[in-house]
Amino acid sequence: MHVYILKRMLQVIPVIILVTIITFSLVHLAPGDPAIMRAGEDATPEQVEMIREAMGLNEPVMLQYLNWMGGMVRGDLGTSLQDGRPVFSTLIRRLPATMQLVLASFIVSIGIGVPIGILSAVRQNTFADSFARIFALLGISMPNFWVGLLLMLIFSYWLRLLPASGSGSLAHLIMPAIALGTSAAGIITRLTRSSMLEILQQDFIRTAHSKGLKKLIVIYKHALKNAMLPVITVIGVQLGARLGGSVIVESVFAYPGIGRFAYLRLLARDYPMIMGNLLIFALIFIFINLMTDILYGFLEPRIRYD
Amino acid sequence: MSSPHHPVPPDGQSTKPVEVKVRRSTSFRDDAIRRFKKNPTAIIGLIIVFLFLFIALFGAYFTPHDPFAQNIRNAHQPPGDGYLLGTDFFGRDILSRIMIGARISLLVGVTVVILWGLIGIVVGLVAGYYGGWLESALMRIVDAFISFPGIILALAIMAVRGQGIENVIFALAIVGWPTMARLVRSEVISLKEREYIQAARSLGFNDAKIMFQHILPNSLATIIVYSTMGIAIPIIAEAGLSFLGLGATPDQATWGFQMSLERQYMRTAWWGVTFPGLAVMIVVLGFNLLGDGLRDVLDPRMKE
Repeated sequence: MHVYILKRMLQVIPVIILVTIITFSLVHLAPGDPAIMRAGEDATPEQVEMIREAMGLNEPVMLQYLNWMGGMVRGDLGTSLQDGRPVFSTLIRRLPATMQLVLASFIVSIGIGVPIGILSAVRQNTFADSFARIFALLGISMPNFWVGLLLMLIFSYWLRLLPASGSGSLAHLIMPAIALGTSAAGIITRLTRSSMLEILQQDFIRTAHSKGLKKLIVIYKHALKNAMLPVITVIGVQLGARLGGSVIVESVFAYPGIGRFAYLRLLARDYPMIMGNLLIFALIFIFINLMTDILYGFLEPRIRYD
Repeated sequence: MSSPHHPVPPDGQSTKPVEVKVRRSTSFRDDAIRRFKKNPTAIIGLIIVFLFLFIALFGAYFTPHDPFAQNIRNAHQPPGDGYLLGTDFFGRDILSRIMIGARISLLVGVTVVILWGLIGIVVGLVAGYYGGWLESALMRIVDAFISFPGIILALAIMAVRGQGIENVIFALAIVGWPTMARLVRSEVISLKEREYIQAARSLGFNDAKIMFQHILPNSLATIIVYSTMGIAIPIIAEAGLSFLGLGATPDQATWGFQMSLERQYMRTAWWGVTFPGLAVMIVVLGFNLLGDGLRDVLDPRMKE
């Protein structure tokens, strides 16, 4: 097990380095001069030149990359082109609100997806099963921002039950969490269903039934525990997708998280912010996937990623 | 989705049990078509996809109104007489705009998936076939690209390169190819130890020939299934990018851009965002249903 964890962790290092290279080159291939953006439209050429020198833009690209990397290791991702504030702390401050939203969306998607998936598998080929499958397909097929807009239309404008935008209370979290969680709910429903169907056919379930155990006990104590393994593996991947989705959903609901902030800075072409953002999102994703792989290694010793 | 099991061509069947041979009294193709016809959801998917293709290709010739004609006096007419799905803020017919918008959705969906295929198949084949350090290096690159949440990487590319459909296609191609590469690689790994590949190798065929003439054709079922469902991904993503104003340019009538225009008037004119979004959903649903159906047909052992 230790060897497995160590191997898995070592694999992450080249990926992180590649992530930094992709981020750095993306922004450095961009048209436009960051020094002019920082200095403003009406700066004199001398001022621009001074800023260029101060920002290290006259140095070779390789050195700029190494400087940036060096800063990154110390938690310094540079300063914003727009307001001169430090990138790292500005972004980190907005992370908790987004994490709250992402967590809430997981509660929505697991809370809906797992029970419906179980129902669908236990009642295979019945009306309930068809309903569950249609629900899952619709969930996967709806764009998250459209779900958000429809929810806003119905629950804020027509029924006046929920606030249309902002944050600060549980009521503010409901619609964005549903919008962000709908497609994952569909995916988890499908996965739970197929995984339950597979488990329910296995010998130990038949044995449990023939021992005279109650159907509910067999389903919840024996089958579900085993059927959840594949679901755990998608949670890591889904988290990455949720972080991405937060950009759109937070913009729809004017929710003050890192996603909406990222979007606003993207529109303003605040390059250091864009780089910091890409990097933080990628690192979170890598970390969560590492954790799910390790967790999976513990839960299912037969299958280990190598 | 990535099943190692594949319909092996008849000559590769020698080791199969006898009852399989008995079932093969019909050809694989007849069998596949028969299974497809028995699958009502797949048929629905096929019909949706055909309708979408038809509207995207020929819809411009029979839109009920000029999709670009502005008439402010006609602004926000509710769905009904004359305008089946209502009009937008500029008095343009929403149905006509949806019909014309199908073109860009189709263009983006198909081109992006073709690009995924071109890059992903080559990378996946090379990585899976050669193994070793080359595979490690290629797969770490794939891992790195997959580490970015797709929509954010796409948005960043759009912010750097600017609006426009060509840039949307470029951005979504960059974001999606690694998934295809992973899929193809896992296929190749499961195929390359098969006897007929070993045989081709011992006959001295060169690597490129083995990869493209022997391994690739046997991975096609999986690639086709993934590509069919995959078309839905750039279609939704394009709508999202255009909705955020970092996708198509305003003169290109796209579903996502239409929704972003109408969003601020949603309170008084609900139809402005509802119908273009519905169009996205129906098309994505169609590709998903068709993809599911194709998987059942091309990969019968995958079913349940």
